[in-house]
Amino acid sequence: MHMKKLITILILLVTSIVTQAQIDSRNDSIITTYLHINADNGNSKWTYNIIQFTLTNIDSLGKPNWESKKITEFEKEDDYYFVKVNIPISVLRNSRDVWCEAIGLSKTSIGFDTIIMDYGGVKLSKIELFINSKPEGAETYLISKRIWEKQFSNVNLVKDDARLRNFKVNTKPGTNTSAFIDETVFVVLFEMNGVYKHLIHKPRPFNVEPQQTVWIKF
Amino acid sequence: MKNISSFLSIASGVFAVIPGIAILTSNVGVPPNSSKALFGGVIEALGVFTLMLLWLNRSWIKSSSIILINRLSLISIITFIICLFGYIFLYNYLVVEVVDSDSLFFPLWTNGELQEGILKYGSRYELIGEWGRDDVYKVIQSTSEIPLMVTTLLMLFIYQLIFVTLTFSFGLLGIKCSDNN
Repeated sequence: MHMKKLITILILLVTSIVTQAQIDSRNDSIITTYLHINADNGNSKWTYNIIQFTLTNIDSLGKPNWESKKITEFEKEDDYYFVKVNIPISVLRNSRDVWCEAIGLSKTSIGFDTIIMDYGGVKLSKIELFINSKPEGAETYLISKRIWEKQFSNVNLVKDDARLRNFKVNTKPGTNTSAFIDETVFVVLFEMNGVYKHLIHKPRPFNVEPQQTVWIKF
Repeated sequence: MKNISSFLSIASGVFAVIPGIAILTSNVGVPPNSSKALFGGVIEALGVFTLMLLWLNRSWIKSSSIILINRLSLISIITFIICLFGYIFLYNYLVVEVVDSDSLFFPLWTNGELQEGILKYGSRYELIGEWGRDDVYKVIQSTSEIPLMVTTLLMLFIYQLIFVTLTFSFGLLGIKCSDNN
C-alpha cells in the first residue's frame, strides 16, 4: 500500500519537473517581433543617420534583465524605422514595452562622430501569429503590405533575396513557426526549395484574437 | 429674480469648472492620441479666466444697457452653437473608428505617403483596411506632423470656445439679473 503511494508521488514529481522544464525552456526561447520606432522621440526629430538600435527590458525593480543584440539591419521608412528583433518569450509575456537606445552618425569637421540617443519606451507587439506550411520547413518573411507594395511588388525575389533578410522570421529555422506582430497588414512570404508563395494577413485586434494563424500549401 | 440670478451664476461657474475636470478624468471629446492634460488644463484655465473677467467687470456689466447685454449673450450663445456643431462635425470627420481597436485621428490635410495611400485606396477607411491600423498610425505620425499639430490646435480652440462662450453668456446674464433685484 505504502509502495503504491510512493510510486504515485514519484510519478507526479517527475511529471511536474518535466512540465516545468518545458515551460522554462519555452520562456527562454526567442521569438521574432516586429516593431515600429518613430524618428521623433517626442522632443526632437532625429537628424542623424541612425546606424544601430539596442533594446533593453527593465524589470519591476527598475533593473535591466534583458538586452538585445546590436540591431544594425532595419528598414528606414520616411521618419520611422521598421525593426525586427528577436525577444525572449519571458520578456514578451511580462512587459508592455522595452527601452530603446539609438546610435546615430553625426558629421564633424574631421569625419563622423557617433551620437547615442535614449529614445524611451517602444511598445511591444502582442498579437502572436502562427505561421504554418504544408509540408513544414519553409523559410518565412513578414513584410508590411505597404513596404511590399513599394519595394517588392516588381522585384524578382529569387535574385534579390538579400533584400528580404530584414524581414525573415527567426523564431525557428522554418515552418511551423510564430512571430509577434501589431495591427499592421502583413504579406507573409514563404520560400521552399526556391519556390516563393505569399499571402496577405489582415490581423484582427489583440483583444479579439490574441493568437492568429496563417498557413500555405506548397 | 434673485433665484434666477443665482441659477445663472451657478450655471456659469459649472460651465467654467466642470468640463475641464471632466476631460482630465475621462478624456471625453479629446481626439485620440492627443493630450487630455492639454485639453482639460486649457479649458479649465480659460473657464476660470472668463469667470474672473466677468467678476472684475461686474460694475460695468450692471451699468450696461439690457440691449447690450442681450446682444452680447446672444452672440455668445450663437458662437457656442456654431462651435458645438463644428466640433462634432470635425470630430466625426477626422476621427475614424476602428472596430474593436483604438480610433485613428487624421489631420485636416495629408502629406506624402499618407496622401498617396488615401488617393490610391479611395478613403481613409479603405486605407486602414489595406495597411492595418498600426501602420496607418505610424504613417500619420511620420508624414503629417505639422498638419496634425495644426488640426489638434484647431480642435482645442473650438473645444474651449464651447465652454468659454457658455460661461460668458450665463455669467453675463447672472450678474445683470442680480443688478435688477
